[in-house]
Amino acid sequence: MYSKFSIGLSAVLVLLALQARGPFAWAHAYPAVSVPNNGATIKEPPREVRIQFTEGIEIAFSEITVKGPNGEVVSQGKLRRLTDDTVAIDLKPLRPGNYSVEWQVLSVDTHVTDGVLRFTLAETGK
Amino acid sequence: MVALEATISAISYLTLALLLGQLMTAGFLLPRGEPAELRRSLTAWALGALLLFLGAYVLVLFVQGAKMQRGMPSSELLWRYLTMTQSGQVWIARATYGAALALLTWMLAQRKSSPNAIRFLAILALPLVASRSLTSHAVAVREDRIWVVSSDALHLLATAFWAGGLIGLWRVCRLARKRNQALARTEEIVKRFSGLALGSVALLAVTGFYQSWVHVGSLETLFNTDYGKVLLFKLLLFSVMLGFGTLNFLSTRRILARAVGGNENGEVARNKALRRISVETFVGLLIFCVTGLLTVLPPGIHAVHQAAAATGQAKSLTTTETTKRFLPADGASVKILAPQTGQLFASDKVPLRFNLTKGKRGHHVHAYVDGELMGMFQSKAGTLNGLKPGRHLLELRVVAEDHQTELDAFDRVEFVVK
Repeated sequence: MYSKFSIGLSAVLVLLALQARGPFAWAHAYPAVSVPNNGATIKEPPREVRIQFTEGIEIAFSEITVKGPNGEVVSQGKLRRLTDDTVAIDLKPLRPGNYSVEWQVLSVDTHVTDGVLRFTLAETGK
Repeated sequence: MVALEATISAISYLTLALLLGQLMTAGFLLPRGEPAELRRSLTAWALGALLLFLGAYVLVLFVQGAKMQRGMPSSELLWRYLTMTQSGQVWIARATYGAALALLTWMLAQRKSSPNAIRFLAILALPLVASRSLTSHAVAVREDRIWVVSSDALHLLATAFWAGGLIGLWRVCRLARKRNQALARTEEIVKRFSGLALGSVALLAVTGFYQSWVHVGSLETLFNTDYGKVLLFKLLLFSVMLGFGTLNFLSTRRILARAVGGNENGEVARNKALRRISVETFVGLLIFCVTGLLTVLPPGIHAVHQAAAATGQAKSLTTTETTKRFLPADGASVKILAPQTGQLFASDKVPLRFNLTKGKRGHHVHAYVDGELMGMFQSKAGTLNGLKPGRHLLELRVVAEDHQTELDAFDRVEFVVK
């Protein structure tokens, strides 16, 4: 009986080891809403980028970097917490072009996620 | 890294269940007159489980640091994590509590402890098991957090009672056979454990259903997300374990009782009981593995956002920028309670309260200020931040779970920020 149980226990440990499989996505806090919206074309230059995540996040280990058409960083100052799940970062004055918002956050349930959002600032009058 | 995280998570669950199971068995299940060394042996196993847990918990910290640093974590990063984040502070509290409990358990394991002392130790172990909820998916939910965390804690405790208790029961039954102890004692222990298991299963069913509803939300999510599929597998294993539990409850106890009464061969009955308990215990161990996997998977209810983040797809969320899809309200409605029409605010933070009727399709509301999306709200209150001075038009719209389909259900109000 003991040896049978030992075999069973070994099988459990093997199963634990086999958890190293690939196709799962291993992340938790995602942007639910962003201002400007992901993919949006806007006419007025925004003064900040704001993201609301699907979970509460730890601001000490979260960051947002906004980059301009040539890859230059256009965000400035510290990331501000508006609520448990919403943060904002101030922007320098923007000129027309495509912008990327690179975000990385640590959620309160200890998971690290990252990604990129994009928006376009249209030429005045377009 | 992910495999390591899932494995360590499973080991943490398993060791804490083992700790509680051994102490429960030694303190509550063993009948009077059992040899003192058996209690001491169970307490020693509990200590071993606790030390294993503490070792795994140190690894948890390093894995957490490695995730944040994308490599070997520096001591400075770990210190910042421990002191500046909620989960870091929970880690310090649990590690300290666990170490103190280990010291106490070691002291008890050294001497001939009374059942009362072991019972006290078992009660002291409960917060260590339950506090895992403070860094689980439960703590990250937006609504009814206190209920979800409490339910998760009860779920963990019930799992530890049942699966951990089974390991204790298996050990005691095996030792009883080895020492050729009276079958009546084994029958008494199995009977006592059955009561504990029955209560645990009832608690597991209720809290498990609630947790699934919170983290999965719909049958579609259950069948179409990784989290849902793993949860289904866990439910399958739970059903198998429940099947064996029922068999033990209805049949094994009776076989043992008949053997004690002299109506059946005692050795055959004892072996049959041990075999069935072994299988039930093994399935319980498998459940810990699956639970470890669930802790590193994103809850199914976030599948929409996860897919959007993975593909980088644009969402159509504002009326001014893209064409919107509107569906009939189908019973959904929203009524803004605050701010009220014309209300004046001295700061850029405006408290928001509303009544939401979800109807058939509604899930939450989007808040637009002057046509610009400011946030989504699932609970009935929140705050609008960063509003510029001037007159503003607030519009709340009921939205389906996909965040894109807005319903023909909205309310508007004008207010002023000084």
